[in-house]
Amino acid sequence: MTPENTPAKEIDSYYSSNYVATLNLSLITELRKLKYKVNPVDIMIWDRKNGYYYDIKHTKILDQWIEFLDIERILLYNVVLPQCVTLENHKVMFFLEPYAICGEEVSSPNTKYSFTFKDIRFDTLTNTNNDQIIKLYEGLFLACY
Amino acid sequence: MLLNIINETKTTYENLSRLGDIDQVLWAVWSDKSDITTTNELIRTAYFYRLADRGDQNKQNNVAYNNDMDLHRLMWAIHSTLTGIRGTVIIKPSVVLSPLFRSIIVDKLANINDRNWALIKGNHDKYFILNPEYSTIFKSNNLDELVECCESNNLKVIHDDDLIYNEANMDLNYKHWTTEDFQGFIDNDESNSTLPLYSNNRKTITSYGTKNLVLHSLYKKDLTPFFDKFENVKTFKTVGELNALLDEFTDDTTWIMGNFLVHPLTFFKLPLREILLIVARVLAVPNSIVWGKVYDTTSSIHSTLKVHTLSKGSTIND
Repeated sequence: MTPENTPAKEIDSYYSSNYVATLNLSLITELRKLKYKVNPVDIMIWDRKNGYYYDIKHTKILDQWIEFLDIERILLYNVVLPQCVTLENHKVMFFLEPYAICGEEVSSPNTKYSFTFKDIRFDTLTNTNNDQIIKLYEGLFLACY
Repeated sequence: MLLNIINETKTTYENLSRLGDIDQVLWAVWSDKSDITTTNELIRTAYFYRLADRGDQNKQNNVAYNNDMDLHRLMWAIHSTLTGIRGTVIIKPSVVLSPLFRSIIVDKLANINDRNWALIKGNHDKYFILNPEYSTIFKSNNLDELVECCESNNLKVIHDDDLIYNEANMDLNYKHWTTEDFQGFIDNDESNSTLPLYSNNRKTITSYGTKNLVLHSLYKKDLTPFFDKFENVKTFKTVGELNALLDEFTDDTTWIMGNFLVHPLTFFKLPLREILLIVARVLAVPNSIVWGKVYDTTSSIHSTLKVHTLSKGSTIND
């Protein structure tokens, strides 16, 4: 089945399973420039009350995500060893650098989290079920709540 | 390549954690490039620091080198294992800080009472000092971005005009070194720079019953009375002559090297790998004993004798 002849709900499902939720490169470049301002692990980029906190020009795609997922606030995380951030109740998260290290909850009785290396080209962490718990170990991430 | 501490004996966690007891400073030769040329240059520079304070083993042992870790990982490795380190001087490959200038840096760090500093820098990025306690804020390998990281985390960046970089004095590869550049060293060799072979050791070192004696020409006067103990006695003055003797004497030889292999005249004029190869060859001659300084150990006596009496009778004093 192709997206052209599929009902709307199924299109959402099709894209979430076949495409990486991503941002435009211009915005990613702008966000990478902000990464050294992160103190100590995150900074607020946008919230519904105050809008954008920094002078960001290429917001068109991100604005569509805000509207599409009814996002309330957006945080930029820059995490390095031995920092670790647990994400809960986020709606979508974007990788902003080529590689990142995350931990995802697994069902194994011995290991609660598994380390995974993420590649910006192939991986997405859209939180469709709203119950996913993710740990960020290393990398630059944009998390939308 | 992990964090490598050039250290002969202190390898336990307990020892490493107290590594900085003397001056609390680690000298880390580091680069974010890991190509072959940089790696060679990095190791060569680290060995230079190993040599630069020949009299002080503690300072020699506080030298690390690394070129495949980001700075925040390196700082975390230092902070979590070498807990006695107060400041880490990040030095780019081929940058040389003199022993005197290194003492000045140690004093500067000792005089900082405020713990809220993260970075001390001059007007260049050839070397700078990081506080390993704040490893998590060093989220870049670029010095300007590191300054930005420190400022965002409200940590002090100290701009110190004394941390100068002068290429002519501080670059290991500033020029192609020739013998003429070391005339001062050569002139002083007989009086100051030579590792002295004291009279009580001359008898001991020549009493292991080897068939051959190979010695640096500087020690000829000292050892002439003992020449009749050997079947063959040969002297050398240059690396070329030493190589020829290594081909000639492949067994049963006493080698009197002194500081020849670690001397700046040798170090600057040869590729490091070639020197290390010569060291390996000298140390590997079977049934032989070597008296001299080499790179990976602070000891000066090395033996491949099957039955030796190094722990009995007279001892060799360095």
